[in-house]
Amino acid sequence: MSPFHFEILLFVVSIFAGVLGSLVGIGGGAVIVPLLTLVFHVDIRLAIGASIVSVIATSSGAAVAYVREKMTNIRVGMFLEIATTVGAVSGAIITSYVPDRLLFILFGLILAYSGFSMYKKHKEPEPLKTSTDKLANRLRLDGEYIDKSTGETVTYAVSGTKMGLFLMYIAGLVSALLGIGSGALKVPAMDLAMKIPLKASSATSNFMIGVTAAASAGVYFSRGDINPLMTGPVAIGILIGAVAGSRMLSKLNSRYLRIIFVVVISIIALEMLQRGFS
Amino acid sequence: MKSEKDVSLEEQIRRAETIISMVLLIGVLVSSFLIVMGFIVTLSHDHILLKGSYKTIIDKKYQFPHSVSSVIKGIGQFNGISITLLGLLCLILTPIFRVGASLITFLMSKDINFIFITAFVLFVLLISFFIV
Repeated sequence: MSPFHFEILLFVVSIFAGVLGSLVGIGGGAVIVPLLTLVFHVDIRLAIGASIVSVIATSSGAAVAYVREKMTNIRVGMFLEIATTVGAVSGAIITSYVPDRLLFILFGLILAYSGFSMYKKHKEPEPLKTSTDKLANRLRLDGEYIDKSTGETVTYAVSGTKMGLFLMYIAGLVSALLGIGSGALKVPAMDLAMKIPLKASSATSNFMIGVTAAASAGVYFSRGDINPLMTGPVAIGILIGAVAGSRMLSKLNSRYLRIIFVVVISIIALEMLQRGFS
Repeated sequence: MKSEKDVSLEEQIRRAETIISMVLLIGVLVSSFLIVMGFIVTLSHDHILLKGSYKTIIDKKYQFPHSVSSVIKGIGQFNGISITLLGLLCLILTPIFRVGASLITFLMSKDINFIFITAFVLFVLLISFFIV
Protein backbone atom coordinates (compact mmCIF):
# COMPACT_ATOMS: atom_id res chain seq x y z
CA MET A 1 0.00 0.00 0.00
CA SER A 2 1.37 3.43 -0.96
CA PRO A 3 1.42 6.20 1.65
CA PHE A 4 -1.25 8.04 -0.36
CA HIS A 5 -3.69 5.11 -0.20
CA PHE A 6 -2.92 4.70 3.48
CA GLU A 7 -3.83 8.37 4.10
CA ILE A 8 -7.17 7.96 2.31
CA LEU A 9 -7.93 4.70 4.15
CA LEU A 10 -7.02 6.29 7.48
CA PHE A 11 -9.33 9.22 6.73
CA VAL A 12 -12.31 6.99 5.83
CA VAL A 13 -11.81 4.68 8.80
CA SER A 14 -11.54 7.70 11.12
CA ILE A 15 -14.93 8.95 9.90
CA PHE A 16 -16.45 5.62 11.01
CA ALA A 17 -14.58 5.80 14.32
CA GLY A 18 -15.94 9.32 14.86
CA VAL A 19 -19.52 8.25 14.09
CA LEU A 20 -19.34 5.24 16.41
CA GLY A 21 -17.58 7.18 19.12
CA SER A 22 -20.12 9.98 19.20
CA LEU A 23 -23.13 7.65 18.97
CA VAL A 24 -22.23 5.92 22.19
CA GLY A 25 -20.44 8.84 23.81
CA ILE A 26 -17.05 7.19 24.17
CA GLY A 27 -15.02 9.33 21.75
CA GLY A 28 -13.27 8.36 18.53
CA GLY A 29 -9.89 7.87 20.21
CA ALA A 30 -11.05 4.72 21.96
CA VAL A 31 -11.56 3.16 18.52
CA ILE A 32 -8.68 4.68 16.57
CA VAL A 33 -5.83 3.74 18.94
CA PRO A 34 -6.61 -0.01 18.86
CA LEU A 35 -7.10 0.20 15.09
CA LEU A 36 -3.75 1.89 14.45
CA THR A 37 -1.82 -0.37 16.78
CA LEU A 38 -3.51 -3.74 16.19
CA VAL A 39 -4.21 -3.50 12.43
CA PHE A 40 -1.48 -1.21 11.09
CA HIS A 41 1.16 -1.94 13.76
CA VAL A 42 1.74 1.74 14.42
CA ASP A 43 3.87 2.52 17.48
CA ILE A 44 1.42 2.99 20.38
CA ARG A 45 2.81 6.42 21.31
CA LEU A 46 2.33 7.77 17.76
CA ALA A 47 -1.22 6.34 17.77
CA ILE A 48 -1.91 8.08 21.09
CA GLY A 49 -0.47 11.35 19.72
CA ALA A 50 -2.83 11.20 16.73
CA SER A 51 -5.75 10.33 18.96
CA ILE A 52 -5.23 13.12 21.51
CA VAL A 53 -5.41 15.75 18.75
CA SER A 54 -8.62 14.22 17.41
CA VAL A 55 -10.09 14.46 20.93
CA ILE A 56 -9.48 18.22 20.79
CA ALA A 57 -11.06 18.48 17.32
CA THR A 58 -14.20 16.65 18.45
CA SER A 59 -14.67 18.55 21.69
CA SER A 60 -14.08 21.97 20.12
CA GLY A 61 -16.37 21.16 17.22
CA ALA A 62 -19.15 20.20 19.61
CA ALA A 63 -18.64 23.04 22.11
CA VAL A 64 -21.04 25.38 20.31
CA ALA A 65 -24.01 23.12 20.98
CA TYR A 66 -23.11 22.46 24.61
CA VAL A 67 -22.85 26.11 25.53
CA ARG A 68 -26.15 26.78 23.78
CA GLU A 69 -27.84 24.10 25.86
CA LYS A 70 -26.78 25.97 29.04
CA MET A 71 -26.33 22.71 30.92
CA THR A 72 -22.60 23.14 31.31
CA ASN A 73 -21.51 24.34 34.75
CA ILE A 74 -18.57 26.45 33.66
CA ARG A 75 -17.47 27.25 37.23
CA VAL A 76 -17.31 23.57 38.18
CA GLY A 77 -15.54 22.81 34.88
CA MET A 78 -12.91 25.47 35.35
CA PHE A 79 -12.36 24.52 39.02
CA LEU A 80 -11.83 20.84 38.14
CA GLU A 81 -9.53 21.71 35.25
CA ILE A 82 -6.93 22.61 37.88
CA ALA A 83 -6.70 18.86 38.52
CA THR A 84 -7.22 17.51 34.98
CA THR A 85 -4.53 19.71 33.40
CA VAL A 86 -1.97 18.94 36.13
CA GLY A 87 -2.90 15.26 35.78
CA ALA A 88 -2.52 15.44 32.00
CA VAL A 89 0.89 17.11 32.13
CA SER A 90 2.16 14.56 34.67
CA GLY A 91 0.73 11.73 32.55
CA ALA A 92 2.45 13.04 29.43
CA ILE A 93 5.74 13.20 31.35
CA ILE A 94 5.58 9.71 32.88
CA THR A 95 4.50 8.06 29.62
CA SER A 96 8.16 8.01 28.52
CA TYR A 97 8.92 5.71 31.45
CA VAL A 98 5.87 3.46 31.07
CA PRO A 99 6.53 0.26 29.09
CA ASP A 100 4.41 -0.19 25.94
CA ARG A 101 2.78 -3.38 27.20
CA LEU A 102 1.54 -1.60 30.31
CA LEU A 103 -0.10 1.02 28.04
CA PHE A 104 -1.89 -1.80 26.17
CA ILE A 105 -3.09 -3.34 29.45
CA LEU A 106 -4.26 0.01 30.85
CA PHE A 107 -6.04 0.77 27.58
CA GLY A 108 -7.81 -2.59 27.66
CA LEU A 109 -8.91 -2.09 31.26
CA ILE A 110 -10.20 1.47 30.75
CA LEU A 111 -12.05 0.38 27.61
CA ALA A 112 -13.66 -2.54 29.45
CA TYR A 113 -14.66 -0.21 32.27
CA SER A 114 -16.12 2.32 29.78
CA GLY A 115 -18.15 -0.40 28.12
CA PHE A 116 -19.41 -1.63 31.47
CA SER A 117 -20.38 1.81 32.79
CA MET A 118 -22.15 2.55 29.49
CA TYR A 119 -24.23 -0.58 29.87
CA LYS A 120 -25.16 -0.59 33.53
CA LYS A 121 -28.35 1.11 34.54
CA HIS A 122 -27.96 4.39 36.29
CA LYS A 123 -30.34 5.47 39.00
CA GLU A 124 -30.36 9.20 39.40
CA PRO A 125 -30.65 10.49 42.98
CA GLU A 126 -32.41 13.71 43.98
CA PRO A 127 -30.28 16.83 43.41
CA LEU A 128 -28.52 18.11 46.52
CA LYS A 129 -30.35 21.14 48.01
CA THR A 130 -27.67 22.53 50.31
CA SER A 131 -24.04 21.65 50.70
CA THR A 132 -21.75 21.62 53.74
CA ASP A 133 -18.68 21.61 51.48
CA LYS A 134 -16.88 24.85 52.40
CA LEU A 135 -14.89 25.12 49.17
CA ALA A 136 -17.96 24.53 46.99
CA ASN A 137 -19.88 27.24 48.82
CA ARG A 138 -17.01 29.69 48.77
CA LEU A 139 -16.52 29.26 45.03
CA ARG A 140 -20.30 29.27 44.44
CA LEU A 141 -20.21 26.05 42.43
CA ASP A 142 -23.97 25.40 42.66
CA GLY A 143 -25.84 25.56 39.39
CA GLU A 144 -29.12 25.15 37.58
CA TYR A 145 -30.40 23.94 34.21
CA ILE A 146 -33.72 23.41 32.47
CA ASP A 147 -34.70 19.77 32.09
CA LYS A 148 -36.02 19.44 28.54
CA SER A 149 -38.22 16.41 29.28
CA THR A 150 -40.14 18.09 32.12
CA GLY A 151 -39.55 21.78 31.36
CA GLU A 152 -38.62 22.34 35.00
CA THR A 153 -35.62 24.25 36.27
CA VAL A 154 -33.39 21.96 38.30
CA THR A 155 -31.19 23.68 40.89
CA TYR A 156 -28.43 21.77 42.63
CA ALA A 157 -25.71 22.22 45.23
CA VAL A 158 -22.26 20.66 44.95
CA SER A 159 -20.27 18.67 47.50
CA GLY A 160 -17.20 16.41 47.59
CA THR A 161 -14.84 18.93 45.98
CA LYS A 162 -11.68 17.27 47.36
CA MET A 163 -12.66 13.82 46.12
CA GLY A 164 -13.71 15.40 42.81
CA LEU A 165 -10.30 17.03 42.38
CA PHE A 166 -8.53 13.75 43.16
CA LEU A 167 -10.61 11.75 40.67
CA MET A 168 -10.12 14.44 38.02
CA TYR A 169 -6.37 14.25 38.50
CA ILE A 170 -6.61 10.52 37.72
CA ALA A 171 -8.87 11.25 34.71
CA GLY A 172 -6.31 13.76 33.37
CA LEU A 173 -3.49 11.27 33.90
CA VAL A 174 -5.33 8.48 32.06
CA SER A 175 -6.34 10.84 29.26
CA ALA A 176 -2.71 11.81 28.66
CA LEU A 177 -1.38 8.26 28.93
CA LEU A 178 -3.91 6.79 26.50
CA GLY A 179 -4.85 9.70 24.23
CA ILE A 180 -8.55 9.47 25.03
CA GLY A 181 -11.06 12.00 26.36
CA SER A 182 -11.73 9.86 29.46
CA GLY A 183 -15.29 11.12 29.80
CA ALA A 184 -16.09 7.71 31.31
CA LEU A 185 -13.99 8.75 34.32
CA LYS A 186 -14.98 12.42 34.42
CA VAL A 187 -18.74 11.90 34.54
CA PRO A 188 -18.76 9.60 37.63
CA ALA A 189 -16.32 11.94 39.39
CA MET A 190 -18.91 14.72 39.16
CA ASP A 191 -22.04 12.65 39.32
CA LEU A 192 -21.15 10.21 42.12
CA ALA A 193 -18.51 12.08 44.12
CA MET A 194 -19.81 15.64 43.79
CA LYS A 195 -23.56 14.90 43.51
CA ILE A 196 -23.98 16.93 40.30
CA PRO A 197 -27.02 15.79 38.21
CA LEU A 198 -26.06 13.45 35.37
CA LYS A 199 -27.06 15.81 32.54
CA ALA A 200 -25.02 18.68 33.96
CA SER A 201 -22.11 16.26 34.62
CA SER A 202 -22.09 15.02 31.01
CA ALA A 203 -22.23 18.52 29.52
CA THR A 204 -19.49 19.76 31.86
CA SER A 205 -17.34 16.71 31.10
CA ASN A 206 -17.60 17.42 27.36
CA PHE A 207 -16.58 21.01 28.02
CA MET A 208 -13.50 19.85 29.95
CA ILE A 209 -12.27 17.12 27.59
CA GLY A 210 -10.70 19.49 25.03
CA VAL A 211 -8.77 21.45 27.65
CA THR A 212 -7.48 18.25 29.29
CA ALA A 213 -6.36 16.90 25.91
CA ALA A 214 -4.65 20.18 24.99
CA ALA A 215 -2.53 19.99 28.16
CA SER A 216 -0.92 16.72 27.05
CA ALA A 217 -0.98 17.43 23.30
CA GLY A 218 1.58 20.21 23.85
CA VAL A 219 3.98 17.70 25.44
CA TYR A 220 3.35 15.08 22.72
CA PHE A 221 4.00 17.71 20.03
CA SER A 222 7.34 18.89 21.39
CA ARG A 223 8.42 15.29 21.87
CA GLY A 224 7.75 14.53 18.18
CA ASP A 225 4.86 12.12 18.76
CA ILE A 226 2.35 14.08 16.65
CA ASN A 227 3.11 12.59 13.22
CA PRO A 228 1.41 15.04 10.80
CA LEU A 229 0.81 12.44 8.08
CA MET A 230 -1.19 10.28 10.51
CA THR A 231 -2.68 12.90 12.81
CA GLY A 232 -4.03 15.03 9.94
CA PRO A 233 -6.34 12.44 8.34
CA VAL A 234 -7.34 11.03 11.75
CA ALA A 235 -8.27 14.44 13.20
CA ILE A 236 -10.31 15.54 10.16
CA GLY A 237 -11.96 12.12 9.79
CA ILE A 238 -13.00 11.88 13.43
CA LEU A 239 -14.24 15.47 13.40
CA ILE A 240 -16.49 14.82 10.38
CA GLY A 241 -17.64 11.51 11.86
CA ALA A 242 -18.44 13.04 15.24
CA VAL A 243 -20.54 15.81 13.69
CA ALA A 244 -22.42 13.28 11.54
CA GLY A 245 -22.84 10.95 14.52
CA SER A 246 -24.35 13.62 16.74
CA ARG A 247 -26.93 14.39 14.02
CA MET A 248 -27.84 10.72 13.70
CA LEU A 249 -28.21 10.30 17.44
CA SER A 250 -31.80 11.46 17.70
CA LYS A 251 -32.95 9.23 14.85
CA LEU A 252 -31.49 5.96 16.06
CA ASN A 253 -32.65 3.55 18.69
CA SER A 254 -29.69 3.92 20.97
CA ARG A 255 -30.54 0.91 23.14
CA TYR A 256 -29.69 -1.73 20.52
CA LEU A 257 -26.76 0.31 19.37
CA ARG A 258 -25.36 0.33 22.88
CA ILE A 259 -25.65 -3.43 23.22
CA ILE A 260 -23.85 -3.96 19.91
CA PHE A 261 -21.19 -1.50 20.87
CA VAL A 262 -20.61 -3.01 24.30
CA VAL A 263 -19.85 -6.27 22.52
CA VAL A 264 -17.48 -4.55 20.07
CA ILE A 265 -15.73 -2.69 22.88
CA SER A 266 -15.30 -5.86 24.92
CA ILE A 267 -13.63 -7.54 21.94
CA ILE A 268 -11.29 -4.59 21.39
CA ALA A 269 -10.52 -4.48 25.13
CA LEU A 270 -9.60 -8.18 25.10
CA GLU A 271 -7.39 -7.70 22.02
CA MET A 272 -5.55 -4.84 23.72
CA LEU A 273 -5.13 -6.86 26.92
CA GLN A 274 -3.85 -9.82 24.95
CA ARG A 275 -1.29 -7.59 23.25
CA GLY A 276 -0.20 -6.33 26.65
CA PHE A 277 0.19 -9.76 28.22
CA SER A 278 1.69 -11.64 25.26
CA MET B 1 -31.76 36.47 45.51
CA LYS B 2 -30.18 37.96 42.44
CA SER B 3 -30.06 41.71 41.97
CA GLU B 4 -30.68 43.30 38.58
CA LYS B 5 -27.00 44.07 38.32
CA ASP B 6 -26.17 40.36 38.69
CA VAL B 7 -28.66 39.43 36.01
CA SER B 8 -27.22 41.87 33.49
CA LEU B 9 -23.72 40.64 34.31
CA GLU B 10 -24.85 37.06 33.78
CA GLU B 11 -26.34 38.12 30.47
CA GLN B 12 -23.02 39.69 29.52
CA ILE B 13 -21.15 36.52 30.39
CA ARG B 14 -23.60 34.39 28.42
CA ARG B 15 -23.07 36.65 25.43
CA ALA B 16 -19.31 36.33 25.83
CA GLU B 17 -19.74 32.54 25.99
CA THR B 18 -21.63 32.57 22.70
CA ILE B 19 -18.90 34.61 21.06
CA ILE B 20 -16.24 32.26 22.45
CA SER B 21 -17.99 29.19 21.10
CA MET B 22 -18.20 30.81 17.67
CA VAL B 23 -14.47 31.51 17.84
CA LEU B 24 -13.95 27.84 18.75
CA LEU B 25 -15.83 26.82 15.64
CA ILE B 26 -13.80 29.20 13.49
CA GLY B 27 -10.61 27.78 15.08
CA VAL B 28 -11.65 24.26 14.10
CA LEU B 29 -12.53 25.34 10.55
CA VAL B 30 -9.26 27.24 10.04
CA SER B 31 -7.17 24.34 11.35
CA SER B 32 -9.06 21.83 9.18
CA PHE B 33 -8.44 24.05 6.16
CA LEU B 34 -4.69 24.23 6.92
CA ILE B 35 -4.46 20.45 7.47
CA VAL B 36 -6.11 19.73 4.10
CA MET B 37 -4.07 22.47 2.35
CA GLY B 38 -0.86 20.96 3.73
CA PHE B 39 -1.89 17.57 2.44
CA ILE B 40 -2.53 18.92 -1.07
CA VAL B 41 0.79 20.80 -1.11
CA THR B 42 2.62 17.67 0.10
CA LEU B 43 0.95 15.64 -2.62
CA SER B 44 1.91 18.05 -5.39
CA HIS B 45 5.41 19.13 -4.28
CA ASP B 46 6.76 16.08 -2.56
CA HIS B 47 7.03 12.46 -3.62
CA ILE B 48 6.79 11.03 -0.12
CA LEU B 49 3.11 10.10 -0.47
CA LEU B 50 3.43 8.42 -3.87
CA LYS B 51 6.64 6.43 -3.54
CA GLY B 52 7.32 3.33 -1.49
CA SER B 53 5.25 1.77 1.27
CA TYR B 54 3.07 3.40 3.92
CA LYS B 55 5.35 1.77 6.48
CA THR B 56 7.90 4.56 5.89
CA ILE B 57 5.57 7.29 7.15
CA ILE B 58 4.30 5.42 10.20
CA ASP B 59 7.77 4.38 11.29
CA LYS B 60 9.20 5.83 14.49
CA LYS B 61 12.29 6.88 12.53
CA TYR B 62 10.29 9.06 10.12
CA GLN B 63 11.36 12.65 10.80
CA PHE B 64 9.14 15.76 10.85
CA PRO B 65 9.32 19.19 12.55
CA HIS B 66 8.30 19.19 16.20
CA SER B 67 8.99 22.68 17.47
CA VAL B 68 7.08 25.88 16.75
CA SER B 69 10.17 27.52 15.23
CA SER B 70 10.90 24.62 12.84
CA VAL B 71 7.23 24.58 11.75
CA ILE B 72 7.37 28.32 10.96
CA LYS B 73 10.68 27.84 9.12
CA GLY B 74 9.08 25.06 7.03
CA ILE B 75 6.13 27.26 6.12
CA GLY B 76 8.57 29.88 4.79
CA GLN B 77 9.75 27.18 2.39
CA PHE B 78 6.12 26.30 1.48
CA ASN B 79 6.56 22.84 2.94
CA GLY B 80 3.26 20.91 2.95
CA ILE B 81 4.00 18.89 6.09
CA SER B 82 4.72 22.11 7.98
CA ILE B 83 1.41 23.59 6.81
CA THR B 84 -0.42 20.51 8.14
CA LEU B 85 1.49 20.85 11.41
CA LEU B 86 0.48 24.50 11.68
CA GLY B 87 -3.13 23.37 11.32
CA LEU B 88 -2.62 20.78 14.06
CA LEU B 89 -0.99 23.41 16.28
CA CYS B 90 -3.98 25.74 15.74
CA LEU B 91 -6.22 22.87 16.79
CA ILE B 92 -4.21 22.27 19.99
CA LEU B 93 -4.26 26.01 20.74
CA THR B 94 -8.06 26.32 20.33
CA PRO B 95 -9.01 25.06 23.84
CA ILE B 96 -6.13 27.08 25.31
CA PHE B 97 -7.54 30.15 23.65
CA ARG B 98 -10.90 29.22 25.11
CA VAL B 99 -9.47 29.22 28.65
CA GLY B 100 -7.88 32.60 27.92
CA ALA B 101 -11.27 33.94 26.89
CA SER B 102 -12.87 32.55 30.08
CA LEU B 103 -10.23 34.43 32.05
CA ILE B 104 -11.47 37.63 30.42
CA THR B 105 -15.08 36.92 31.43
CA PHE B 106 -13.98 36.27 35.04
CA LEU B 107 -11.98 39.51 34.98
CA MET B 108 -15.13 41.26 33.75
CA SER B 109 -17.12 39.93 36.70
CA LYS B 110 -14.19 40.68 39.10
CA ASP B 111 -14.38 37.17 40.50
CA ILE B 112 -11.03 37.00 42.32
CA ASN B 113 -11.13 33.23 43.12
CA PHE B 114 -11.87 32.30 39.55
CA ILE B 115 -9.37 34.78 38.12
CA PHE B 116 -6.69 32.85 40.04
CA ILE B 117 -8.11 29.41 39.13
CA THR B 118 -8.32 30.23 35.41
CA ALA B 119 -4.92 31.91 35.34
CA PHE B 120 -3.42 28.78 36.92
CA VAL B 121 -5.04 26.49 34.32
CA LEU B 122 -3.81 28.76 31.53
CA PHE B 123 -0.31 28.70 33.01
CA VAL B 124 -0.25 24.87 33.09
CA LEU B 125 -1.48 24.74 29.47
CA LEU B 126 1.18 27.16 28.27
CA ILE B 127 4.10 25.47 30.06
CA SER B 128 3.05 22.11 28.57
CA PHE B 129 4.62 23.21 25.29
CA PHE B 130 8.02 23.54 26.96
CA ILE B 131 8.05 20.11 28.59
CA VAL B 132 9.68 17.35 26.61
